[in-house]
Amino acid sequence: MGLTEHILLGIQAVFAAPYIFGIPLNVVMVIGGLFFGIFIGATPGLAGPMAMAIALPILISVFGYEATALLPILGFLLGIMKGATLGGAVPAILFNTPGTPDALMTTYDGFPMTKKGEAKKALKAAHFASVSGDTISDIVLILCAPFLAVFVEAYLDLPEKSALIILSLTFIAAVMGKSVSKGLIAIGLGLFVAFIGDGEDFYPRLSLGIDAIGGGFPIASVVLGALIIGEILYAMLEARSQTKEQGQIAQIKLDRASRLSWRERFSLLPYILPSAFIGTAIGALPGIGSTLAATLGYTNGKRRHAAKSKSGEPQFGDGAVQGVASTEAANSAVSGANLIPVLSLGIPGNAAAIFLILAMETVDGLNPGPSVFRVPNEGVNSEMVMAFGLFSLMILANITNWIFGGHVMQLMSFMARVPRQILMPAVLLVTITSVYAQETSLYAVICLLGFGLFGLLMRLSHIPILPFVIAYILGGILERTARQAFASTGADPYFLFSSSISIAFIAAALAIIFIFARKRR
Amino acid sequence: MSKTPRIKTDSLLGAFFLAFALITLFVWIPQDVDTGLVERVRRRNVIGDALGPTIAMILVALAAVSLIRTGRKTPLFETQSNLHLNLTFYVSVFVIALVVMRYLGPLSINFLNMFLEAEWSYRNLRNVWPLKYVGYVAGGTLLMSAFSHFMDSGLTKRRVLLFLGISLTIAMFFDLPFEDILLPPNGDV
Repeated sequence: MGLTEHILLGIQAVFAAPYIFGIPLNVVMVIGGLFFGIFIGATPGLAGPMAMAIALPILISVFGYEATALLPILGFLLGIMKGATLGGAVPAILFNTPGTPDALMTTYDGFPMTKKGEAKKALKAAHFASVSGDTISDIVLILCAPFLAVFVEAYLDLPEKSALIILSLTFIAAVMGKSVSKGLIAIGLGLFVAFIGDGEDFYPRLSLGIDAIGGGFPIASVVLGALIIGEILYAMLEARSQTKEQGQIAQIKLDRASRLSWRERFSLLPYILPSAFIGTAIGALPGIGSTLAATLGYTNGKRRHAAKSKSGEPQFGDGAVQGVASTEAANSAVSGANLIPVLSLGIPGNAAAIFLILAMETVDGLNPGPSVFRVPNEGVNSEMVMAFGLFSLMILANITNWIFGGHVMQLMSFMARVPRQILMPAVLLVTITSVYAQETSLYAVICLLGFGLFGLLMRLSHIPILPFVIAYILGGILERTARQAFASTGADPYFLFSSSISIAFIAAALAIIFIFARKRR
Repeated sequence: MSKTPRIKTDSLLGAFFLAFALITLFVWIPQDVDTGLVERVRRRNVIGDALGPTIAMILVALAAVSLIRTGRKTPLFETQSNLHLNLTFYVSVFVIALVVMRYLGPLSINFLNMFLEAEWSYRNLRNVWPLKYVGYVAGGTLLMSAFSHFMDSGLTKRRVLLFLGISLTIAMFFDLPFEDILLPPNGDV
């Protein structure tokens, strides 16, 4: 069966699901995820990965682990990922409070626009730019991921794949956080935790003779603990040391007159397109994240605006609609492109991608990596069908976002008024409950809280948490690939240097450490 | 958090991780992994279970040495000086809330058994409303109330009631639509 048949089967898989209220289940899940994501993004203090973390165990409990569960689960998670980025602009524009970290630059022009009575126009511009950026990024993903995967599968053997994982981990350690050394410590600790209770021998290694640790730590507890609980505990410490500023947010009325005309939308394209490509390029690299994309998109837009704007037009920082568009296009473009390393290499690049990988690894049907896009000589590659099903879901999410996203984000403006001292403890309890729902064991909850405290200590000592989690997820894959590479090269201890490609990868890893370490000094 | 006194530096953090890596490399891994770095299985050399953790800890040790060498004077913990008290508070709340969650349901049954001279067991009644929510809602309310008070020292009766309502809502959200999902501690009893 050829590529076209696989694409058609993928689209068919989305619509062949059971129907709810006359709509295919997968479509309902995408729409539900998108609206939930906008709701989360519009709530200051909450972010997309947090909602994905809470939703994943519930979704697995509801849909199970079989391959038929994969598309509804991924549909909901993708919807959250896209919706949260869009929703982050709501409190940034209306209340000068970024809903998500990458919406900080949106406040620079969005809030001045609100003060001038142009809140609705700013929200419309944010929606238009965000969905445009996201759509461009998804197109690049759909075009690039299969080719990159085919290239990797054709040219990289086991030693090269091991070297590529090492290169990715090194890159993530170097670009995240303020110190390369701390990034490497996080990577080392993540790998070490992944090896606990695992291995080839009958004795579960590093388990200290404790039966509960013998099977390793529950993956949901480690990932959600370090990423989400740690963040909540940190936010609570932060809130304790800050003055109370909650409850003073005024009601904003959206002026019907301040609309964004089609002519104005068209005039924003020279700002949106470069930002979208900046966001896409950054999203394709593991570990960099949408905040940098937003910053670069904003800076690029600012430079253009300074050169091209007419006198009397508001400049960036004074309520320029181009500022909102430049930022939102860039940060939204990250979300599609960050699936390029996920689908083609099996390497997560940011927190949202971690939860997508976690879903793919927990539920049958799709093991992300180069083999996903291998066209079989005969029969069907069910993983490729699922991958094209995933692409169809992304397109569906974008269409929904184009049609309804703008209206939903205006409706969610009330969320910025929920006090943090109510919200954070409630999210903590929901996360605990959600992990228990998946693992059905208080041991998993104890591990969750333990890794939460660990995550808190890492944050307080400025050790980046994401390299730890990514190394934890890739640890088992790296060891398995290295074992196979060692065996396939006849127990060659220098298997990482057995070809020019793997030597280049290892050299690049060392060069990245050296360059970033010198730069940060 | 900006008023934080500088209590320690990166070098101290590096020293801690260096010590941890060395203890793990020379004590934990040799004692707690049955195979070596490389072992011989069926006349073939294969990577042993000790290699992965050893490389991970060598990486930590090297990064720790680099951290000590660069030795920036950034604050180790960018927070209040009473961090140990805050951490103690966190751990205490977790322990108390989990104990309440785990044991309040079974204790309520024992209590009822004493008064009604019955011989019920919580395990048999863990699907009966409202018993199945007792531990979860009490532990959840306690957890949220404690942390909310920690954040702004403004806990009121009204807020506790709000958290009671939130706990109950979360319990029903997980329990009512999904038959297979168990709330804490009902999967452990």
